[in-house]
Amino acid sequence: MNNLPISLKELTKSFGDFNAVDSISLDIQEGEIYGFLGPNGAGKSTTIRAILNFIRPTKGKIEVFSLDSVNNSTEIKKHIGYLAGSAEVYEEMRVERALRYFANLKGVNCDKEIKSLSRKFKLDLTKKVGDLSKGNLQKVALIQAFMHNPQLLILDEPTSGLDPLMKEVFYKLIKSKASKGATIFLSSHDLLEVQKVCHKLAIIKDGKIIAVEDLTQNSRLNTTNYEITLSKPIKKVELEKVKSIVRSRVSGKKVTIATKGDLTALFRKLSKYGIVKISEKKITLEDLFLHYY
Amino acid sequence: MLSIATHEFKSRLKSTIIWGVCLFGFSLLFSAAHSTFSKELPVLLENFPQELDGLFGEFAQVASPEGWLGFEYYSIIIPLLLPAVAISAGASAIGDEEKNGTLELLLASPKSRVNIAGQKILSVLSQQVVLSLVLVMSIWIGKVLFDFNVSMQPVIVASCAAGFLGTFFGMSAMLVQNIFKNKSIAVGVCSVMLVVSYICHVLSQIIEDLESLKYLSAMHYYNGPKLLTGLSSEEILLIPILVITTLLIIANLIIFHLRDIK
Repeated sequence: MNNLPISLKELTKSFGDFNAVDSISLDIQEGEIYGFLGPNGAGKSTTIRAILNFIRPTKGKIEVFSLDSVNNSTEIKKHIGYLAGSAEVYEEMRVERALRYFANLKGVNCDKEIKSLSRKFKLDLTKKVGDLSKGNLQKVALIQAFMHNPQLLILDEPTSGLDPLMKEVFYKLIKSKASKGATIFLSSHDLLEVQKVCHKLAIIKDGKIIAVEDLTQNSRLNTTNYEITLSKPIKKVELEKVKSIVRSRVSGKKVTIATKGDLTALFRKLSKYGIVKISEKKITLEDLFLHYY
Repeated sequence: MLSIATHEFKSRLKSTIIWGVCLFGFSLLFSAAHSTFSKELPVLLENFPQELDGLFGEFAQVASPEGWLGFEYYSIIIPLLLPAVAISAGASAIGDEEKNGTLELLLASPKSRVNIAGQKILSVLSQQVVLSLVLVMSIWIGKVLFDFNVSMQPVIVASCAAGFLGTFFGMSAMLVQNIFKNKSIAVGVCSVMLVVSYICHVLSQIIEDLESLKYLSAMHYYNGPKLLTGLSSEEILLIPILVITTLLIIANLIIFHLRDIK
């Protein structure tokens, strides 16, 4: 299949007077790992559900592989693997039976892939779904999304409940799928995760896309942040002369800076004021939103 | 091809077996009881007030095996039991998947919504077919075991009518669930419908001024006891139930196709 895997044009979804998604537009290219970042209730899941035609757009248009998401929903879903935000599988079934049932619904035989993915994720196929932990349940949901080698993967909070080792397995898997041409659209509220695996990122808040970042380029997000305590106060103007500083905030002896590139000049400057403590600070979603507003 | 219907039917297998065993037990009990009471029935017949026919069925016909089944079994137990089972199945068919969050997995598969809802409807229908068959088979076994000389043709017709009645309530429950997206509301509304339907049927038979209430009652169109005794060959009365059930099925397919899944 050619054309854009996902194209949203002025998509709006309202529930009564409330716009859960408000006129958003996005184009996702083939082979891209596209992150969709936002806090809870921002509109991530609503957008995903509209793409999958679980809910109808109030306004705007969604095209998947150039097909209308409402009128060609059945055709589109042949090429999609979907992981729901809250992974739920039939509790009374054994894992293998549940996965075979899903394969049957998709109309393909996925026995080989089920075995190979379950080995990758270290999942016992003989267990009853109802007896699984949250993490293992998430693995079942992930396997059912990947097992038919879809061209487009739509994953809502895919690493929720996975331990760090399994997260790494997941990251490797999506990178490998993307390198083979599959497109991955994943929602998350974990910025580090998105930075780690995604080529591109859209940030959504209150139903609106507030930024789109190309993470393969020199993104504004590719900065390292430090909180530094000095023995003497420093003036902000002193820091403005340092090229590697992208942003800075000074409060007496405390300096908070976002940096990019070579730090030699920065630390040479700061050492004149006596460095008492340095700590690296992770960017939180809140920081990010503050940055974009 | 019918994997959703098969899965749904299998998940309801335990309850179908339990209800089947209950029906089997009732049928054997009624078959056995007739031979026990058949000698005393003429005496009872003389003293039974005609006004109570509305509550229990046509007592005047009770001496015959068909009339015996029409009295209480096909006038109270069956037309309440089969719809009750169908209400539960109809409300759960999509309701359980929606509540448990598994509906999304079905919708994410390359099956149209009409296909998914159609297979769910098929599973509800299958359960009613199985229970109607159990009903017929168990009465036939009762006939063989207990010298219960009942004619099987009216039993088959009345059992089919009971299956149609159940399907009507099952599809109503599915529709209410589809509209309100809530299984409990569907079970509640349709249970009230069933009870009101029974009360209207009884009142229309015992109070002359309220006779017209019968048209509001699904039991009137089911007409099981009369189909059994051959008092009327009013199979035609089933037509409204069949037409409305067909409309309910179409409405279910359309509404499920159009509605948002939250």
